[in-house]
Amino acid sequence: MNKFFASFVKEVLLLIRDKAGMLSLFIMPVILVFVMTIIEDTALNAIADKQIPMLYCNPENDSLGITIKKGLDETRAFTILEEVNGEKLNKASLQRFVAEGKYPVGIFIPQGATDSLKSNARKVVLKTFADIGLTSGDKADINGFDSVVIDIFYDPAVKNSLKAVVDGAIGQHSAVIVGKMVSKMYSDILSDFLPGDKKLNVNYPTMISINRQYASEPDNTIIPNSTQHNVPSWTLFAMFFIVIPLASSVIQEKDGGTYMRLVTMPKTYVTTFVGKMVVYFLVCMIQVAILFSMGIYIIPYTGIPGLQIGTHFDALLVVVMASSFAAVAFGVMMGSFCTSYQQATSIGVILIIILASMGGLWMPVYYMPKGIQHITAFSPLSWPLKSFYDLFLRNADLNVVFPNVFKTLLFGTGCFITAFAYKAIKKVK
Amino acid sequence: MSENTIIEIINLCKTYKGNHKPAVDDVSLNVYQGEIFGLLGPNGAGKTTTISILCGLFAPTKGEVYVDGLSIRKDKEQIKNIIGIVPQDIALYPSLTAYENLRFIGRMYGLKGKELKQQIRKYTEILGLDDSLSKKVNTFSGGMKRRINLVAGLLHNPRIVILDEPTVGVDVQSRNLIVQYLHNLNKTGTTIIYTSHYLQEAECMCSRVAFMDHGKIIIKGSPKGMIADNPDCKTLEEVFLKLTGIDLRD
Repeated sequence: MNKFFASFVKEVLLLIRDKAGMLSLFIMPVILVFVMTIIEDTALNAIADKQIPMLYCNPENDSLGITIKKGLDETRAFTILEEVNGEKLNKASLQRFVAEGKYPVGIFIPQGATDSLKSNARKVVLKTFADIGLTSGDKADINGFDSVVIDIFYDPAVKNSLKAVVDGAIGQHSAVIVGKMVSKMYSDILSDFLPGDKKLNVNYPTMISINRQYASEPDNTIIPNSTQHNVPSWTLFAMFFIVIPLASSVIQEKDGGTYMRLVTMPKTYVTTFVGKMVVYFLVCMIQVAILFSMGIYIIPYTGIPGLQIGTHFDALLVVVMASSFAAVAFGVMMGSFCTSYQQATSIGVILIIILASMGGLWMPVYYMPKGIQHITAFSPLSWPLKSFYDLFLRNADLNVVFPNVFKTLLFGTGCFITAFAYKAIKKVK
Repeated sequence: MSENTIIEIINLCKTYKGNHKPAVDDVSLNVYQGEIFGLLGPNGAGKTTTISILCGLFAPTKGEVYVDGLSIRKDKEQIKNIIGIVPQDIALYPSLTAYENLRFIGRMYGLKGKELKQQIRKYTEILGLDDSLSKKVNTFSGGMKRRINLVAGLLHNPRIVILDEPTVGVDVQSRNLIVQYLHNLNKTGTTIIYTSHYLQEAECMCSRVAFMDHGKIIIKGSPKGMIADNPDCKTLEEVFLKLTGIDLRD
């Protein structure tokens, strides 16, 4: 234990005094995760199934505007904004924001629109009765309609499909309210012809219902947002970047002669080696703690959603530990194979970049061509990433993430075995 | 193996993979308890390989080595406790202080607490480093690095100290201190095996020397005896040049 503790302390001191190493292990990953999350936010949102912001100005605040807004809300296609930067919208400001390209669409419901609609509905009904010689006590002018105009402002860059959706939604909900008003008018006027206090009451049951179903098995893929993708991805990338300080440390010991001293000490080499591994393993764990904390607490200040890590912390710990183990084992393997610092940094870094891009760390797998998606399953970095997705997006438990955790552990074990086998072969030579 | 033989090397061979020529070729020699034995030779003679096998760094291709009666093949871990190694390279962590390096090495040899502190203090005082314990090794001069490298090999009071060119690249004062100290250490009964290119130093220090060239022992004996056996030579260096030639080595 004394030997292990001594090795542990020695490694910690070496690491703390390696300013470049500390920079690459802690400072650079923080910057990387922060920057990547922000710059990829727009790109990922453009691809993801995201609500379209829509400006909405309804100064009369009556039935027509309320019904249309409710209908648009129910489509879940729009985020309806009635004020911008704390200021209530009016027709001019709404048009200006859309013209400036800040919002793709804006809807203006004019003052008195509902009253006009009611008046028009009444005129339609009265005129219908008048045409067949029935007149009620209502002497309202049945001629001259004041057509209600709803203004829809579009950014010229908006696609026709969006225009069709907005026009259709407004047309549909306007038609519904017009229909209701007209039928109410008929009921009210017909009630005048009924004896006594009898009232005609027309109720519309749901006559058509839509049965939405998938023609084939639905794709259960949940698309992560920028934070959900970038924070775990670049954290994994940073963890595997440990190959640089770790492999360098192994190589420097070999080059500097300290390896010779360690090997010539009694029952020491394995202890010092384990001491080194434990330190770097803890470094990976600390990296995760720092970067995930940044995702949870700092990223939301930029206006991007914060990292949600689910509720299965035991499973999260297991995934983080397995990933740390794999990263350290990979670093050890590279340290064994490489004979110089330059080799370790160049080959190690290129390998990590290849594995990371293959594993969907740079760009989520879902956005890759279908053929390429099959290849990603072979990258060891994709396994912990999938585990993180399961934990963060689906709130999965340990049972769900276990297969990928197992693969990650297997990869780490394979790296260690390869490193030791290579070392043993070299020693025999 | 005679009673006072502490190291016995029998027909030792080492051929590195990919090389046809052996680095150590059928070497046999004895080192006696309490002597200073010099293993001398030009570059590439096989001195460092022989020392590395003694320390357990490499396994021999053929032959046997016994240290204090223990086989290098079977009892490697026990042998490591008996030997203190002072490698040619400064085998210390440059970014750690002298004290941190020595504390780590001492603990690796099983020393701890007061005993470890006493050992560090004792050897650093002797070798004039007690004021520099808190300084990082990478700030040390060449001479200081050599001395701290020596302290690191002595902390656990080994019965055999193996020094691979311990005075290379140091100033005269540091060399004098190291040589003086090795003499004193030897007087306490510690066996010293020493390699060097400084033949004058070896002539003064060693009770016996062996010349190696091309992996073989070409001669062994006391420096005085070797000079006597070669009347045309006045110094050990002249004997060395006579026997190994003046051709440059890689």
